[in-house]
Amino acid sequence: MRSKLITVFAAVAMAFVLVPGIVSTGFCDTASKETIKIGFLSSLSGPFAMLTRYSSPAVHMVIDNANASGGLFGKQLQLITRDDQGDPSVVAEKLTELKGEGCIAIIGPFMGANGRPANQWASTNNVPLVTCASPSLADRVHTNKYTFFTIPVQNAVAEVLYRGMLTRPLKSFYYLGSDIVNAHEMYDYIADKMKKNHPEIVNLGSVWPSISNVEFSNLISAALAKKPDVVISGQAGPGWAALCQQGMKFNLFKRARVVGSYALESAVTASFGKNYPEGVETTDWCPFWEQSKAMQDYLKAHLAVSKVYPADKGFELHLAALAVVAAMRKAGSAEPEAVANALENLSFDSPVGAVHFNDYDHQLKIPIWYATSGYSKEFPIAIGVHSIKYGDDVYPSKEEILALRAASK
Amino acid sequence: MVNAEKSPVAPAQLLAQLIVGIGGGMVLFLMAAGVSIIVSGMNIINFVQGAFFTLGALLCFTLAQILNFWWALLLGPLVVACLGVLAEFLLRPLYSKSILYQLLVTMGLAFLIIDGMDTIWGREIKVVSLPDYLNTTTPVFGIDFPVYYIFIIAVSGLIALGLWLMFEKTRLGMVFRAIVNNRPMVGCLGINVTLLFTLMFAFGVWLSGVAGVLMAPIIGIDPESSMSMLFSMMIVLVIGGLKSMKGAFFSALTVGMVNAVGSLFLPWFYALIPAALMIVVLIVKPQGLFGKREG
Repeated sequence: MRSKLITVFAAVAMAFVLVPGIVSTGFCDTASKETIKIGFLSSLSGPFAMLTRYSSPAVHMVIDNANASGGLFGKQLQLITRDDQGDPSVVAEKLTELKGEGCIAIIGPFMGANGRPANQWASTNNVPLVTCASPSLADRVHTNKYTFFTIPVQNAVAEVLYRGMLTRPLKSFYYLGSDIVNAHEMYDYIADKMKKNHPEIVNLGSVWPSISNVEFSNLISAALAKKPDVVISGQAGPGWAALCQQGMKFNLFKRARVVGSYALESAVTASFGKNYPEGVETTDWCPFWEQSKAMQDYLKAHLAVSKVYPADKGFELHLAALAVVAAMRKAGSAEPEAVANALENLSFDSPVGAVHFNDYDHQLKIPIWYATSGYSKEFPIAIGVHSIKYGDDVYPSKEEILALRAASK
Repeated sequence: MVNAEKSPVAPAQLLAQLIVGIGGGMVLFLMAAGVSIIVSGMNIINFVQGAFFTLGALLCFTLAQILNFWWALLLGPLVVACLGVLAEFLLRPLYSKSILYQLLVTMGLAFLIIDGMDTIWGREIKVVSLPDYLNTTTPVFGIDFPVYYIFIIAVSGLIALGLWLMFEKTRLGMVFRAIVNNRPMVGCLGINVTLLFTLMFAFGVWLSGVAGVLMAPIIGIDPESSMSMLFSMMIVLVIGGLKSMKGAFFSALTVGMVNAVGSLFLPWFYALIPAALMIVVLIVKPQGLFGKREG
């Protein structure tokens, strides 16, 4: 009797496992044969999972819109998602799964260290990858045929911060960084350029807490002791939220200008509601408060789908999805090689206007705003109340990239 | 590395920085004390402690919205302690087993709690606001010192004093110390060691809950950062001695103050300071500054 019960239980358990699997693999689902599969390597778990709510809808919107218009080449688009867990060691495995599923192009990964293994995978697997990881200049210098970048290169972001800081009188600055490559690159760029062009501006130094650090009281106190005009932050996400919380306790935002990037990322500002520090100066490339029709349409669509305001990171993925769809239209084909070729020099419309990929470094050139945080009656969260828009000239030129490439050989 | 201008540090600034470091150290102590109690009395390295810390912070977020910060400070750690009791029930079969089983189960519990927090609260960063009277500053040696940090130092100090009084001056503390020194003998004396283990575990977890609630208004709460909190606790314990409450106290203060001074004089190596301190202690005195050599 007991063994019969065990057998029945095991059979029911197997049914629960196998039936959904059979249905999803297409064994009895003919519709999947009619779709064009696009891979999405997201971070559904791990240290970057907090951005999922802001990133997934931004990608799905593009796919859903394309399908609502009849799809492409008589087929619907199907987004296949995998979770890289924020872990570089599983990126290749997940990308291989997506390729095995029949994905003709892949969007993502979206954070930091996951970019390099993804770029290497794309070059050896001949699948176009449109990513918003890899902000480092080195990734542009050593790019390959199949990888394309929607996140602005770090040098461009640093250039905007540099120019933006100089729009007001500046005597000194201090860098409260983060012990990651991007933060070091940003500091080196700004510090070198200040030293070269404005030797009268004093560099008061820098400090490099670990990326997982959440205790900034020492660092804020040490920074304020030097009486800088500007404190540049290399923090983002939970680290930036902690820095804001503690900074407000130490009157940091009243005693110095605070400058950073991703500081108006709605994934962070939304959690503060009406208590976000005002006057923070930051780069931004998804200024949802801008009144252009395209941006307002994007804002309304994003709110309708996700109930949250758009974030920079989600916007980078939105651009990646737009790029993949535009490339297929340009190629007239859903073959990976044709899509990769079509992505070269591709131009397409976006919520920030017409954008295009450079052929020499596969960088998508998007405008970058230098915005100051504040509030308006229209929005329940902090927005950029004063914004300066910077264009293509902040990006490294073709000559610079080619020179760096030649020097690295 | 870009050369930056070096300016001398005024004595008043150094003193102010040390006070800031004490504040940071006191919170570290609360986090580490909980682990230390559990390791000392039960020989269990509790990998769930970081998750309990974050749970305390998230409960503060919710309770502060529904009630207020003070109720969150009172109720949050109690809820965390109750969950600690449940966790202890799961660990009971492993008391006599190899430490590897304990590590695996506590790690598994930690991931379970982290996923539970993700499910209940979502993955977005949470931020807690303070009452206005705690959200102000007072001048200390020329810097605007947050009143809330003085509050943290005061609460942590009271808890540290309470712990010392409990362990040194009460019968319960005497029994706890006896269990640390000779558990089988205590059992032979007719004392309910199982119940005391549960109390000890719950109390250790309660301390992490208190640390989580106190830290909630000064961090961005993210369940995924639970394990990095645990590593901070472990560094303090390794330096002070895994089974020494006194060691946890002094090493937490030391780490806090060394970090504070390091941010002034060694900013380029700030991320390495706690680990470097730990390495030095391990070389000089592997059992920790206040630990006893075993075996």
